[in-house]
Amino acid sequence: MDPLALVEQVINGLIISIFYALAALGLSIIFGVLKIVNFAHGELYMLGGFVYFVVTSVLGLPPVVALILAFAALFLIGMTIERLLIDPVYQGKVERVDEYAIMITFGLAILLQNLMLSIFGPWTKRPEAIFHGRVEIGQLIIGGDRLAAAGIGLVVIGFVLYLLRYTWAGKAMRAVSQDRETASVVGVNAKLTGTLAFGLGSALAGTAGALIGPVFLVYPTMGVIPAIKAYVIVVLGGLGSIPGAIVGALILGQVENLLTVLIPDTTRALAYKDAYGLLLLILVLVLRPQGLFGEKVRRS
Amino acid sequence: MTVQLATDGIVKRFGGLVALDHVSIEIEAGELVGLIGPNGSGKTTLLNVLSGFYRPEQGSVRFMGRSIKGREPADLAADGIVRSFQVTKIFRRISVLENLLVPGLIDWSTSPKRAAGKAEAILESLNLGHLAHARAANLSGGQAKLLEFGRIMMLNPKLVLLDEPFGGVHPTLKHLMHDTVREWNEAGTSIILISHDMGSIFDLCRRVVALHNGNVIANGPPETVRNDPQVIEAYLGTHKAPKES
Amino acid sequence: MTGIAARRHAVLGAGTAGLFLVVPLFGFDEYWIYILTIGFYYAILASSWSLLVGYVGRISFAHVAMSGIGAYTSVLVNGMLGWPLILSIPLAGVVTGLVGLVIGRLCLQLHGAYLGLTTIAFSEIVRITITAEHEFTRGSLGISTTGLFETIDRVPYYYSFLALLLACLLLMWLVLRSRIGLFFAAIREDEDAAASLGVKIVRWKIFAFTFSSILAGLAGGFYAHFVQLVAPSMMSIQEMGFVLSMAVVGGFQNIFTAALGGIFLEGLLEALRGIGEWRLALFAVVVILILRYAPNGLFGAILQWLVPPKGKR
Repeated sequence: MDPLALVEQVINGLIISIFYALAALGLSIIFGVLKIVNFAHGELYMLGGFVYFVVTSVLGLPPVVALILAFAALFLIGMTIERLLIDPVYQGKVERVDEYAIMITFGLAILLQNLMLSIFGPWTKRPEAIFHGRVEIGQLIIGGDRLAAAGIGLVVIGFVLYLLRYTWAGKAMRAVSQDRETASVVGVNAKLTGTLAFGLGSALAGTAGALIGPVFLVYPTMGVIPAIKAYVIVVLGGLGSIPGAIVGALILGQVENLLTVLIPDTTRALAYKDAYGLLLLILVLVLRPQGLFGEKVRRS
Repeated sequence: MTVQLATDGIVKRFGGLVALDHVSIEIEAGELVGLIGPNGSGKTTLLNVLSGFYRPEQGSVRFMGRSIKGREPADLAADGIVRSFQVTKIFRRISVLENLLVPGLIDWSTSPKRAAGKAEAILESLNLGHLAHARAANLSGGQAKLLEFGRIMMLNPKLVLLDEPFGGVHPTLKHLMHDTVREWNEAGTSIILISHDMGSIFDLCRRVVALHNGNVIANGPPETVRNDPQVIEAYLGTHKAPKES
Repeated sequence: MTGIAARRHAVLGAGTAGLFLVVPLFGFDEYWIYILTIGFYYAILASSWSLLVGYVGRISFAHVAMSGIGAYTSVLVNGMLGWPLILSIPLAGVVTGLVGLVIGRLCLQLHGAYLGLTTIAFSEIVRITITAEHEFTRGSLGISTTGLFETIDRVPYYYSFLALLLACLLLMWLVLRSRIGLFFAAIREDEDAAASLGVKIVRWKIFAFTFSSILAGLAGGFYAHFVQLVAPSMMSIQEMGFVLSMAVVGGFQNIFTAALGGIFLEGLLEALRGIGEWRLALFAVVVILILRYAPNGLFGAILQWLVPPKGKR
C-alpha cells in the first residue's frame, strides 16, 4: 500500500495509543496499589466523557474548564467508590476477596451504564472539541481535534509519571504496590494511599473519556470497548507495571491498525478488529501471565 | 533399614537467588529427622520440592527407588508423601469432619460411611471429637493445627513433612502433638520435621539436618549438630549453642 | 447437614417445585407463562454459573457465550444440515462441553481477575466471530429457527423448560453432595492444601468447567428453539451481567437460591418494564448492596431464616 497512507495509519495508531495509555495507566495504578482489577474502568471513562459533555454543552463553559472538571469529578467519584466499596476488603469485612472485588466492580459497571442510559438516553452526543480544524504536515492531513486531544493526553501522562516518581503521594503508591504491610510499617497510610490511587486511576480514565468524547462521540456504552482494550494493554504490559501500560498501549495501537490494513480481506479484517487484542490477551494470560514487565506470580 | 527418600544435588533458584545449593540428603524408612536452620536457609523450599510444589532446576529426588521429580502434589500424596504448611491451611467453610473426609474419600473404593468412621476415631484421638460438625473456621489456632494433623492421618502416609507445626502452640497442646508425632513414627511413618523449637527437635528427633544458605552444614544426632560450630555460627554469629526452650 | 435441616430443605424444595408445576393451571395471562419460561432458562444459567463460582470458587464470564454456542450449534445443524431437534440439541451440549473442556484446560493456572479477564476475552471473541461470519450466521440480525413444538401454545414450552431446569438441578445436586462436591469445596477453600492431600485439582477444575458449560449449552439449545431466534446479543457482556446479577441476588453459594434468583429477577425485569433502563440500574444497586451486606443473597437469607444452618458445606 502507498507509503503516505501507511504513515497516516501509523500516526493514527500512535494517537489512539495515547488515549489507550491514559486509560490503561489508571487501571495499572489501581491494580498495583489495591491489587484488584477494576471492572468498572470503562464506565469511569464514560463518566468523564459525560462530565465534559455536560460542562460544555449544558453549562456552556469552555472546553479546558470541562477537562479539568472531568479530572476532578472523577477523582472524587473514584475516592468515594474506594471508600464505600473497596476499603471494606482491607478492613476484613469481606469473605471471598478476589471474587468480591470482581463482582462488585462489575456490578458498579452495570449500574453506571444503565444510570447514564436512563438519564441521557442511548443517543450519541458530540460535545465541543478543544481545537478545531485540520493540521497539515507536508502531505499528511490529521484532524486537529485529534491531535490536540493526543497532545493534552501526552501532557497528562507526563504529569502522572512525574507524580509517581517525585511526589510523596506517588512514592507512597509505589511503596504500597510493592508491599502493603511493609509500607504501613514505615509510616505510609496504606488506606489513604489506596483511596488516592483509585481516585487517580478513575481520574485518568475520566480524562481519557473527556478527551475522546469530542472525537469519537459520547454515549453510555462508550466505555465497554475501551475498557477491554485497557485490560488487554495492562495484561500485555504486566498488571501493575507503569512502563508496561505505556508499551502495551503502543503495541496494541499499532497491532490493531496494521493488522486491519495488512489483512487482504478488509471487511473481514475490520469486523475482527476488536478480536486481535482479545486474542493477544488470552495468549499472554495463558503463556506468560506476568506480561512483558510484570512480576512473576509464585505459587504457595 | 532401607533408604526411603534420597535427594542428590538439588538446586532451586528464584531469579538470582539460589535457595537450595546442591542439597543431598537421605531418609531411611521409619526415621524421624529434624530439619533446622535460620530463616531463609531453604528449609521450606526443600519441603516444597519434596512435596511437588516446586520443581528443582537440577538434581534428583527418589522416593522408594523411583524418581519423583516433577510429580504433582496430589500424585505424591497418593504415593504416600503428605505435608503440613507453616500457615495453617484448613478448609474453613466446611465442617471439621468434612475436612477429614476430603483426604478420606480420595480413594473411590472407600465408602463415605467407612471414611466417616475413621475420621471420627481420629478426631476423638485428637480431642476434637465434640467439634466434628462445627465449622472449621470457628476453631482456635491450636485446634486448627490438630485438624491439619487429623487430615494427614486419614491418608496413612509413608512420609510426613511437617513445616513448623508447633509455632505459637500452647504447651499442653504441644504435648499432645508430640505424642501424636511419636505415635506416627512408632507405627512406621517416616517424618521430616522443620522446627525452630529446639525443645521439640530434641524431644522427638534422633537425627538432625542443618541448612544454611541452601547448603547442608551438619547432619547427625541432635546433640552433635547443636554443638557444631558451623551451626552455631549460622544461627547466632557468636559462640553460643542454640538455646533449648 | 443435620437430619432436621435436610428434611426442611427437601420440603421447601418440593413445595417450590410443586408451586411452579401448578402455576399454569391458575389461568394466568399467557404472557406470564412465557416470562416464567424465560425465567427457567436464566435459572439454569444462574445455577450452573453458581456451581463454578460458589462451589469451586472460580469466576467465569464465559457462561453466556457457552449458552450462545449451544444455541447456534443446534440452530445451524438443524437449519443447514437438516438434523432433527432431538439430535441437534444434545449435540449442542456435546459441542459446548468440548469447548468448556478446552477453556477449562487453558485456564487451569488462572484464577481471580486473570480468569475473569480471560473468560471475558473468550466470550467477546465468540460474539465477534459469530457476528463477523455473517454468511453462515447472518451476523447481528440473527437466525430464525424452528420451535420445539408445532403449537403456538406456551404451556408445553413452560413444562419442557421446567423439566430441564429440575433435571439440571438434580444432576448438579447429585454431583455436589457426592465426594466430588467435597473436592470442589476443598479446591475453593485452599487449592494447595487440597493438592497436598491428594485432591486431583486439574481433573476436578476441568470437570467443573465442562459440566457447567454443558448445562449452559443445553439451556441455550432449548432456548433457541423456544424463542425461535438466535442472535449474537444473547452472548453480550450485558447478558452476562444479568446472569451474574441473578445468581448474586438469589444467592450464588447455593444452586437452588441462584436458580430462584434467575426466575425472580426475570419476573422483576418484566414487571418493571415501565420504568425503562432504570430497572437495570436498580438491579445493579441491589447487587452491590447484597455483595456488600448480604453475600448469601435474597433467597439465601430467606433460607437461612427458615432453616438455621449448623455447619453447612
